[in-house]
Amino acid sequence: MVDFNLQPGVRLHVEPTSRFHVNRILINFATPQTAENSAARNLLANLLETSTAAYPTQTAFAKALNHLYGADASASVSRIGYAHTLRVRAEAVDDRFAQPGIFASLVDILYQMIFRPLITDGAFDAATFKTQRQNVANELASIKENKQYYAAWQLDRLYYDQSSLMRIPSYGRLEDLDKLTPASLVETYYDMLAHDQIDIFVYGNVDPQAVLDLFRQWPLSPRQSPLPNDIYYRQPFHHRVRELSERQDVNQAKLNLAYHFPVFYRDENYYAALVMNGILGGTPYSKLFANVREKASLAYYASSQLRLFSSHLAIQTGIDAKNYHQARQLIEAQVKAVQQGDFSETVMQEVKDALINQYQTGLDAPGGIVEHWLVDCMSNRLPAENVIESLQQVTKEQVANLAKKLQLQAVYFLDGEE
Amino acid sequence: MQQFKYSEFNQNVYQKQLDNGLLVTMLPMEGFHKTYAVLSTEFGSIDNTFVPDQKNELLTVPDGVAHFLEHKMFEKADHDAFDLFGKLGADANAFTSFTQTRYLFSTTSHLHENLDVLLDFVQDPYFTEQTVAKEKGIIGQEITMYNDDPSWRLYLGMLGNLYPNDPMHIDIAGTQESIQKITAPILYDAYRTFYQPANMNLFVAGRLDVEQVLAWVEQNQAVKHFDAPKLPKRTAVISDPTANDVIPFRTLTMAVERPKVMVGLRGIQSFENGKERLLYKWRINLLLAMLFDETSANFLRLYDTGVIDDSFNYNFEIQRGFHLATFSTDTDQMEQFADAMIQILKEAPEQLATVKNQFEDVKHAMLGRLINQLDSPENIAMLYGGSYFDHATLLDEIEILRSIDYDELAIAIDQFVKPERLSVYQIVPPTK
Repeated sequence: MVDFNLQPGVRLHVEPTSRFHVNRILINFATPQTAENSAARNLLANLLETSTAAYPTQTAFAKALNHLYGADASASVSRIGYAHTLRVRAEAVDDRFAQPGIFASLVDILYQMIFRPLITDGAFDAATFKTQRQNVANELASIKENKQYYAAWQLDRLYYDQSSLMRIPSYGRLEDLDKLTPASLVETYYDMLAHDQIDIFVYGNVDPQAVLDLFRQWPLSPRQSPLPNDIYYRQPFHHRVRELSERQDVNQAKLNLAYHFPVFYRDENYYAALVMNGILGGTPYSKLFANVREKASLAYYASSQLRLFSSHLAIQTGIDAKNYHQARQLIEAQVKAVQQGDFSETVMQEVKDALINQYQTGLDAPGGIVEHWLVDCMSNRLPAENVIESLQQVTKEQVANLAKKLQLQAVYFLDGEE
Repeated sequence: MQQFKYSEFNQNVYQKQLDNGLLVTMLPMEGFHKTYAVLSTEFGSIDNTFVPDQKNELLTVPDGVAHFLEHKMFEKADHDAFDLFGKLGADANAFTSFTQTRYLFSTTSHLHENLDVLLDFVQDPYFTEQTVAKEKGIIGQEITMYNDDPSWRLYLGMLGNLYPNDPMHIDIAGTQESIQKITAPILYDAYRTFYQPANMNLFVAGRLDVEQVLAWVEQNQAVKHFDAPKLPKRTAVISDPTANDVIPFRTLTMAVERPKVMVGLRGIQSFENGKERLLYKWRINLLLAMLFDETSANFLRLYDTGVIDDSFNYNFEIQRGFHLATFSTDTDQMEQFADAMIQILKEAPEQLATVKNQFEDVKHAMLGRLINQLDSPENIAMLYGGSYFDHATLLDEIEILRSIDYDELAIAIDQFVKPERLSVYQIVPPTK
C-alpha cells in the first residue's frame, strides 16, 4: 500500500490491484464521540448521499451515477472505540470494462458530495432536510422492532458506566434529532470538513501517482487530528453485576450477558481471543451452540461476540422465558468450562479452520478489505500479516488462561408480557 | 471439454456433459481463495404432476414435495451431510424455488473432498417413514413463519391473481395440509424421476484447476451406477396459456404497520430457445428501468407526492414455463399507486419515447451492475440459470444485454405489456 500525506491530518492510502472489475474509494472522517455529535453526523451523512448542488434531486444524482456505468455512492456513520466515523463510499466498474475516465469522474462525484452539498444561504435545502430527518427518525424508531438488535444494544448500555459517552449510539438518539436545524447541520458539516482526521482509501486498478494528482486538488486544510493516540475504550472492572429486566410484547425472550474482557484489536492476545471466542460461542462448533442450543434445546440461538474496542464480550440468546434460570446457569457453565480448558484439541482445530476459512474468504471481498484497512489505520496498526500462522500457533493453555479474564458485568433480560 | 473465451474480461468458461448426462460448468477466477459449487436439479415446487421413473401413468404429488426432498437429502442413516461439510471447513446450504432445487457449498480448502460430499449426499437418497414424519413438524413451522411475512404473502397473493389455477400460487414449501400427505415412497418417486444426472448440472466458480476438478467429478461419477440418460416427463405447467383466468383484484387483511400494494403483469410469450428468453428478459429489464427506476421522472413524481417511498420495488422474473413483472410499495395511497403503475404501462410506448435519450445511460448502468457481479463466485454461480437458458453464464448475459438497441424495446412492449393481464393485490391492516 502506498501512503501519502495530503495535509497534516489528511492521508491518502492507495492499493493497486487488477484482480477485480470494480474500483473502490472510502473516505473516512473521524472525531471523538461527544454527547451531541452522533445524531447530527448521522443526519449529515444522509443529506450528503441524497443530493448535491450540482445534482439537487435524488433523480439527478441517480442519473449521474447511471452515467458512470451504474456507479454507487453512499454515506453512513459508525464507531471504532471512541472515534465517531462518517464514511463516504463510492465504487464503479474499472475503465477497462466501460470507457476511459470513469474513475476520474467517480472522484469528481465524491468531490461534489463532500465539497458542494445542497446548501444555500447557510442552510441545507429545507425540503430535503425535512424528508431525511424523518427518514432517520423512522430508522431510529424501527430499531426497537428488531428485538435481537435491540436487546444487544440494551446490554451494551447496561455494561457501560453511567458517565460513559459510549452509552450514546453511533447513529444518535431521537431526542437529539429534534434539536437539529438546516442551519445547525451546516455548522456540523463545516466543523467536520475543517477538523476531522481524514483517511482516503483507494483499492483498484489505479496508478498511485495519478490518484494522488486527483486528490491533491481537493481544498483540504491542514489540521491536528482530534483523536487521542489510543481510541480503545477501557472500562475498569466493577464488582457489582448490573442486572436489568424489561417486558415487551414478544414471543421469544432474550437473555444477554456482558463480560469484562480487556483484550483489544490486534494486541498480543488478539488471535488467542479469536480462538477463545470461537470455542465459547462464535462458531457452530462452539460450546454455546452445542450445549445450550443443540443438546439442551434451551435456546433458539446462542452466540458470543468480542467487543475488541470496548473491553468486553457479549453473549446473546433467545429463549423461552420460563427457562431463564436453567439457561443462565448453563451459559455461565460454558464460560467456566472454557476457563478450565475443558475443550478438545479437535474442536479447537475446527474453530481455527473456520476462522482461517473466514479470513481467506474475506480476501475475496474487496469492500470488506477496505473497511478492514480503515480499522487497522484507526488503531495505528499496519495491515495484518501471517494471520494463518498466528491462528495456528494459539495453544489450549493460552485460550484457557485468556478466558480467565472473563468476568460477568451485566445481565439483560427481555421478557414477554404476562 | 468445450472452452468459451471472454477475452475482454480475461475469463474462460469450461463445459462438459458427462456420459451419465450430468453437465459440468466451470469458471475459474484468478487470484481468488474461495470456491463455490452448486449442484442443481430442474425440479421445483411447480413440478407436481409427472410420470414417475419406471412407471407409465401420470402422478400428481402433494404440494411441497421438492422442498421436502431438499430437507431430507441431508439426513442419512448414520450422519448428516452438513456435519461432513463442517468438518472439511466448508459452508453448505440448499434452496428450492418454483423450478429448481440447488445444493451448494463454499470453501477455501479440501475442494476435492467437499465435491465428493456434495455429489455423494445428493446422489444417495435415504428416506424412512420415521425421518419423513419427524420433518413434518419442522417444515410446518417453516410454513407458519413464511405466513407471518407480509412481503411473501403479498408476492404469493399476486401469483394467486395471475395464475389462479396453476401450482405457482402455492407456497414453495407447500401447505400444512399438503405436507401431511407426503410419504417416503412419494419422495423416492420424485427423486428417481428428477435427480437423474441428465436433469442436473454442476456449476463450480472461483479458485479451481479445470482439468483437476473435471477429473475428480468424473472419478466420483464413474463408480456409481446410473440408468441410461433420460429426461423426466412432466405435464405442461400452465392450464390457461391465453391468461384469460387472471383475477384483476384481491385484498388480504393482515397485521401490517402500513398497507402494502402490488401490481402484477403476466406474460404469455413462448420461446424457441434460451437465448431468446434472455434477450426478452434484458429488453424488459431495460424497459422497466427506463420507466420506473430512481432516475425516472415517474419515480420522482410519485416519491414527492408520497405515493411511494424507499420501499418501492419492481422486478421482472422469467422461470421455466412462466414469467411476470411486479411493482410494489408500502403506502397509504394504494389506489393512486395502482392507477399510476397501470397508467404508465398503458402509455409505455409514448412514455418510452420521451426518455429515449436516457437509453444509453440506463443500459450502461445495467451492464456495470452485471460486470460488478463478476467479482463474486457465489453471485456468478447463483445467477446461472441452467438448461432453460441453454446453460448461459453471467458472461453470456453481459453480451446479450450489450447487443440490445433502443428500437428493440418496442418489441418487448408489444410482446409483454398487455393491460388485460394486469392485476392488483393489496394487504391492509385490520380496521380498529
